[in-house]
Amino acid sequence: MKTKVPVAPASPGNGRAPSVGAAESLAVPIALSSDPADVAQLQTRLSACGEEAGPDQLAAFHGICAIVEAVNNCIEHAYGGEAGQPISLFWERRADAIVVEIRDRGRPAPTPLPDHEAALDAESGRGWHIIREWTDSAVLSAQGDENVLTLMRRL
Amino acid sequence: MQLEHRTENDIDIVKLPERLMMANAAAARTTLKGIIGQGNGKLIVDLTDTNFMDSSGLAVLVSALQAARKQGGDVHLVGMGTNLQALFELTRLHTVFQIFDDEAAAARAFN
Repeated sequence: MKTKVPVAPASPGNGRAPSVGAAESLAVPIALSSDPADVAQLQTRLSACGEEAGPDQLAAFHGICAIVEAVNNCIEHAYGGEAGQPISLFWERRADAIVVEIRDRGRPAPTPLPDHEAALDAESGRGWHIIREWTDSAVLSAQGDENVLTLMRRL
Repeated sequence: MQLEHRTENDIDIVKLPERLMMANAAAARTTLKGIIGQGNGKLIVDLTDTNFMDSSGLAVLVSALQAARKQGGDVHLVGMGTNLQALFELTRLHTVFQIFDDEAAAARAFN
């Protein structure tokens, strides 16, 4: 049975999703702020989950890279580097895929999304390429005042 | 940012941390550029401990490479694990950097 992780914040105490540093399962919404330290914590948690993923560590690494790049984009582009802004991540494990939804309330991403590779000697511009190549789909949409990026990787 | 750094035969050898990503990229960039600026541009970057890197981390290495080559040097990478190898191949940076199995080979290539 497919179980959609609720989009609304799940924690009744403060109305926010659990923080990234908490020890709860990843099968719940995760609240981040637009702070690179939060992304580092997220990467730590995702890596711990990846280690449980069994022999396909490289596939786990691909997925984690794509998620980290997507959250980096929220910080750098949607919020222009401004710290303390909300980013939500929703994780859904289906029978045949993992789907991750990343939401921010910053500036909308340009459409269409960049689909070119960065120049070899360029310092930046590799994030979207990594996201595209290491997921099976990456769909960006606007829902109300939120930018929603949905990443899917088949299992 | 403190990076493990030593100099042997006029080659700077730096070990990067377990992960290089947006949270520590700016500090790592500053440290690496400082090391390159004080040396002769020959830099070996040891990735043995580095098991995660994002595009911010890649940008740090590209920046170091540019700084090193401006001084007539280069950046040689060693100790790259499977994950980082995949990342470098995806971004084609494996064609930009010289990558070696070990430090001795990387040092010999400077000579």
